[in-house]
Amino acid sequence: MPLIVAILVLAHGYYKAHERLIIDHFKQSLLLAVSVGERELNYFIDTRDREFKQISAAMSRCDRVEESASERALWALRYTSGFSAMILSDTQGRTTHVELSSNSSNRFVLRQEVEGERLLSADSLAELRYRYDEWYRYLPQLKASEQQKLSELNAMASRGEVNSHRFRMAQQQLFDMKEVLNSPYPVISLSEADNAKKLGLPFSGSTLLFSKPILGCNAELLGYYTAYLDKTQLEDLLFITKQNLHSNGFAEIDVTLIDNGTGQLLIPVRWIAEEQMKVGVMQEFYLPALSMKYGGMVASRLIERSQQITPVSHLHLDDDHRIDEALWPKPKPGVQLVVFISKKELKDLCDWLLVKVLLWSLLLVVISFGLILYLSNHIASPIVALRKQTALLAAGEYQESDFKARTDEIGELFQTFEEMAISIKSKERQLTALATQDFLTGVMNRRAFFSTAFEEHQRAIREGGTDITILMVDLDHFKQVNDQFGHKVGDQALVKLCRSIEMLLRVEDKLGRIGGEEFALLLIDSNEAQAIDIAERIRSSVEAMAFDEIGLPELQITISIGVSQWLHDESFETALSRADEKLYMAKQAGRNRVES
Amino acid sequence: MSLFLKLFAVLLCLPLLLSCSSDKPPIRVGVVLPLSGAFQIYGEQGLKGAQLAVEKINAEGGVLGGYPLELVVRDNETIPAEAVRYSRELIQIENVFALLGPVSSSARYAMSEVAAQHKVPQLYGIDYEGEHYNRYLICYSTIPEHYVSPIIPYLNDNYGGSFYIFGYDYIWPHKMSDRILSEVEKVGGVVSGIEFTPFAVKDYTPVFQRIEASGARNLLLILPGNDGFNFLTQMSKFSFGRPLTTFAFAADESYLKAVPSEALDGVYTALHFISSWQSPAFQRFVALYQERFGEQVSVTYSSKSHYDLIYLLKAAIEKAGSLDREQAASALQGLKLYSGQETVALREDHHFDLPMFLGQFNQKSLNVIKPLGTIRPSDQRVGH
Repeated sequence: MPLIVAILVLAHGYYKAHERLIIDHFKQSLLLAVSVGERELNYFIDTRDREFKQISAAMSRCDRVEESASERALWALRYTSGFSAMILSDTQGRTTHVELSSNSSNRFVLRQEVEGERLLSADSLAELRYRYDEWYRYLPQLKASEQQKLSELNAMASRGEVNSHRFRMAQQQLFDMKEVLNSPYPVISLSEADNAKKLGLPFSGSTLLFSKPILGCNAELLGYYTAYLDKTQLEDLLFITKQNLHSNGFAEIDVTLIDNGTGQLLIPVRWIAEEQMKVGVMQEFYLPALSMKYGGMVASRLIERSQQITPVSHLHLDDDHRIDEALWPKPKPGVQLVVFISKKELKDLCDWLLVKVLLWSLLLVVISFGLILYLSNHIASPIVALRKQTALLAAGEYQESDFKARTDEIGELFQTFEEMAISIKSKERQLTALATQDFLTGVMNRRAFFSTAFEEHQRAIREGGTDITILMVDLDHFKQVNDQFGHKVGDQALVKLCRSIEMLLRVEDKLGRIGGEEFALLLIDSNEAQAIDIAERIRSSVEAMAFDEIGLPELQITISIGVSQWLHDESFETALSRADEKLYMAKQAGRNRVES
Repeated sequence: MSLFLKLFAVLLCLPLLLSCSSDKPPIRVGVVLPLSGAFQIYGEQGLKGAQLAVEKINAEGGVLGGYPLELVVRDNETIPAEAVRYSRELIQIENVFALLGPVSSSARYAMSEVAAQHKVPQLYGIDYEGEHYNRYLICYSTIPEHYVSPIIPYLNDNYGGSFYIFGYDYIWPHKMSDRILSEVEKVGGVVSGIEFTPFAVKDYTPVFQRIEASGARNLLLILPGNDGFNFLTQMSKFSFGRPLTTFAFAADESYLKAVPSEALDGVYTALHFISSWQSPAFQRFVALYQERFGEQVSVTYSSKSHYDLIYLLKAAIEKAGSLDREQAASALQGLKLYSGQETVALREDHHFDLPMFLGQFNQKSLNVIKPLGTIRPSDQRVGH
């Protein structure tokens, strides 16, 4: 459980860190896209503004009076690349002429018949008229200001003052005056949505219109001219932004322009919640942010040049020559560049990240459990088993282990332990043997026999009074055997005596050497009569023993046996003493006999 | 140990199962066809053919392991500028994988510029004048060599060697006329009149009078669509004072419903698909089409070409093994559909070797008079 918890905590941390990375990646991509787009669009609109100034210059020439407005329009468009068409309209706004530019986007445009149609909106027409009227009203004042400025400049020049700040300022003011003297400031507006189709232009929806009055050489109003921004170039610009995002792996993207004044989308969208964009003015998302309202991550920038293209500069020579506020262009709301990535992209990526993290976590858990199981089976369990075997060995209860043979360190440890245990047990047996066996005959020694007798007696009592009979056996004339044949032969006789007796005993019967040539037997579960029978067989067997194998066929030994039943309520010493008495009786009666 | 390995293997497969269970986004094909205007009938037939192919492919499991196809349709009203506008919208806003259409040559030139600029494959399935090549344009089209070359000798041999050419005033009829002149000269014939007309003319009587005055025995009509219907209907009421054999380029089964049989009987045409031709491949297509759109609907070469183009797109994507436009564009080359006599093969110049059939309208049916065999035009890349 702690392991699972640890893995899950780690997984959660990993997921959160990578989720943050994903979100940051989205934001960085959007930030880059909107920043680059803003720069490109500002430059684009600025270039169109400059081109329109060139159109204005061409349209306001009075030196070629024989040239009609439509001819001037043709020439005017030739020096631009960012406008699709120019329409000329009368003072009521009715179209009188259409001139298509030679832009590549117009290659397949078929001229449409729009003469007499009012393509300018009522608001734009009204603003154009207003601007003209105000400008015409102030034209004498403007001309007077120009003359005065020229006089000032001439005066400064005549006294050699051509390098002063005052001179340069006056020059700049004269330059500014020139522009406004030629014609009123342009009116920048959005076309009606169906204008492009009416003109047969290769784009849909609204585009920017740059309009100015057509002036006669006496500044009389003759009509208006309106240049249509080539929206295909705008679309292509935004498409490059989109493609850059596509190449970064994003699919559900929208890049669009929104008119801040009306909330109108200038470029169609596919993923962003379009209805939400029409509600109120869209706030600027200068830094990319996730918007639930629009359904994804949004970055937007106000295109400042779209606000500024109606000139804000004014003639402000001094208080006497200040231009009327009415000539000051109305501030335009401008357009906003919006770059959008659908929240589904983010969700899909995060979902996939979650799946991967969960899978890896699960894998980690399984591997961990596997390792634990492996360690348990191969290392911990054998160590535990070894500890158990060690404890048993220490307690003297050693049993053979079932360790499987293995070639690693643990196997070597087991092997060493087994060898040590075997060695200990062997030495233990040796010591036990030394402690309990008669060195010559291999039968129990006195101490061991007494101890065994005690144990047998206890067991007989526990088992409800099993009969135990004691036999005292003594070799007859043993000293003579030693004297005659030597101690070595005497020892051999003792050994053979023991082997002979053992052959006549049952497994449960005990034999011990309690003196030099004296032996005692415990016959378990045998009464006196049965014991006498066994004793007699022993005696006979010994009497019949030959020592041919040691080259002493003449050697003969006999034994005397005393038999006594061990009573349950008496000690072993008492019972043994009684058996000893019987033995003595057997000796007195002539030896080589059994007495009970 | 074996249990551990089995469990590990199952866990490794889980991500695959998860990825298989998620829906694959559709492969979008932008369709720009005239669904109104002079060439409406060709646009409608083409759209139906494409729809049938898309439905069949999606029912059979989609493209490249489960991606469904989806058509995004726009009506360019037979106006080239609209073709440009919609192509740009379909590419820049709708992010289509490929474009299908249009019909008129002017619209095709307009659209192909947009397609080439944005590197989007464009599949075109209507007759045109030939020699239009770029990497992204595929022309499943009858071009002059497909039918002008075979039929001029036929008409010359059977009806005499005098010809009158009448067609729309735009590039396709202009180029067809040039080719006809060349072929007529080869057979020793004579072209006694060439005339081009704007769209939507109401009364062709002056034209009939000029044809009558020319003495021509064969009229080569390059006026498909609504105006062609009108022309033939009016012509049947005009007395030329001599037999006049009419060969109507691009006249197909849709004429059977639009033109009275007395006006249509005897009119020749040459197409790469005639629905009455009894070949297994053709009849299979007719059966599928009528099962989908009804037995009374006309099955035309425009239906088939657009149907085949969708299948070629599928084959190209699967051959490329990816949804990359450039790889699919490269993979289009060398693809074939059908077999035997009906084989259509896409060549290096992005045009097709096509089986052609000389057909004639008679008694409310269009029948094959003579199979012209597989026609292999010259390389359409200028300079090759």
